[in-house]
Amino acid sequence: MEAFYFGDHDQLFGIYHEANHNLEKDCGVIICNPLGQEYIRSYKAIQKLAIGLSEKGYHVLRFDYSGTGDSYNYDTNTLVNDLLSDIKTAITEIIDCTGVNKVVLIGLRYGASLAALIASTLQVDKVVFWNPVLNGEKYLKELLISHKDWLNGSFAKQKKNKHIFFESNGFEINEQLHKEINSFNMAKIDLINTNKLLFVSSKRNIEILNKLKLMKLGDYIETDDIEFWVKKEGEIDKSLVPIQEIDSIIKWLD
Amino acid sequence: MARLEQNVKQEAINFSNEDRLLGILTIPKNHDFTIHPIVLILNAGLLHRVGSNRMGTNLAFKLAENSIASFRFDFSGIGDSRNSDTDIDTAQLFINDTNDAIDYLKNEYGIKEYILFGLCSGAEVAFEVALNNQVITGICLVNGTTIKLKEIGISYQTIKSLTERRYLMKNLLNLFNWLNFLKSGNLHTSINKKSAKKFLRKAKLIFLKKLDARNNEVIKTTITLGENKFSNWEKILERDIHIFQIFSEGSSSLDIYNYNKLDKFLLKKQKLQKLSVKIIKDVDHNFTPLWSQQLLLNSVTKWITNLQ
Repeated sequence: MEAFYFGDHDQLFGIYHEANHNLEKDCGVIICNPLGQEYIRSYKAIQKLAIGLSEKGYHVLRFDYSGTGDSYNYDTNTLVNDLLSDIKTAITEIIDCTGVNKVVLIGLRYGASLAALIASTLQVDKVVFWNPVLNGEKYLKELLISHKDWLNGSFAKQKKNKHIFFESNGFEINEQLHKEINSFNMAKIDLINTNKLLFVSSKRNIEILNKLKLMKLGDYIETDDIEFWVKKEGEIDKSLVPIQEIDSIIKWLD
Repeated sequence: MARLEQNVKQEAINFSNEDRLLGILTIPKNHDFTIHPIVLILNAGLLHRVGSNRMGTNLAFKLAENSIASFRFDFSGIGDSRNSDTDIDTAQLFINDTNDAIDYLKNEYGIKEYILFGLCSGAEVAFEVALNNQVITGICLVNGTTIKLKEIGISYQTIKSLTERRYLMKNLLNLFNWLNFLKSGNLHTSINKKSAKKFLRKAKLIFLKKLDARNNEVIKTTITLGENKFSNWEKILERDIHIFQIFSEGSSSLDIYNYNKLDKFLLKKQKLQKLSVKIIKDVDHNFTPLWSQQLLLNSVTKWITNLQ
């Protein structure tokens, strides 16, 4: 495992997991993180996935978008284009550093939405949509409900601030980003460039995927309804790592 | 506006035995390590080095903008640091990790003075390290208990029930809450049916939530006061370092502070010029609202800047 900064201004923080030499594949995996509190909650799961894949011979790069995690800048000005540009920088980085010819994207939650947007413009070998956000408007509503649930019955009070457009569970989403997320609809993304797709999702979401006619585009794995990325009061499983989901993704790729 | 990376540099660093620990060094432009102290930002619970709501990273940036360097790193087994093979208990292991970070920075950069910042369990580690490590000149403890529960013979559940009682009292006695309820979107003070239903539903939810929490705990009614519970505080005051204790109103650490009457103990002491205590109202343990994060980061940055 190697931690480093990369990009034009070394502005992105990444962790590269070297491929197991005995099983080395001509393939690099980029993990697209969720945003905000969901990223914090998913950190161990993403790390376990990266380690598991590298043991199977994949070169893996997990990284923080600008304004998130250990990358530079505050999160106040981020836009979807910045996030997409960061993913493209990560793809270039893994190809330049390892010489792989194939790239796989694995996106978790809104990271899956970003992976879909990338896959609609760039040729990638495979894409894994891990508990994807299928509809931006619904996702933003869920974030708001989750935030209100957290504040409800806690000492914390939200105060009005004209400079903050939207906040959820400790993170800000600026007005423009909110608009961009709001307009996202997975069913409208053209994914025909991609060789293979996998949807890893709960039963509830699988039904929606079916409705949106997304299921016929790829394979799917049904998961338990455990939302390990959600911040909840009194949670007993806050360090939960969904081992079965991780194993199933690795197995599908392998 | 200048990009942050033009004025601040970040480096990923592996240190300790077999480079098993990972940290991020944040350095202001043209910084001289040998004349300035550095701030060590410690893990909060199980969260990796970016901290609760990314406050660890944001604090590092804010400090760097004020010409202060910082190092945020993961304890053994947390975030991207590997666990230790030894069978040392976790609390001691985290203390050792912090001392390893200090040794590394001392050897590599010649840094002489260290300030520790910790939230929740990070504050406990900061306090323990500062008891014995002489290079530490200041500690900022956010929602830290500093006195172990076993030392005062009290269970966490008892403390939790004190916090719940405080919450209920605050809300029952809050005139604004009642006015809000009575106003209920109607110009008259009569209660309309819709808002009454909403209020009752909310009250029921909160009550059930509290009841559920109570069912899962055994509340100790007999509390035995531990002896020498202030011995570590005696020791740290002898060290004559700068201490900034911050509590959010929604944290149980405030109940431990109140229960122990730590303020009364401290007031009896002579050397208090270097001690500050701040209680922030309307904030939960994790500083979820954005305004509270800003307030915390500004307060901490100001305190550290004034130490220079």
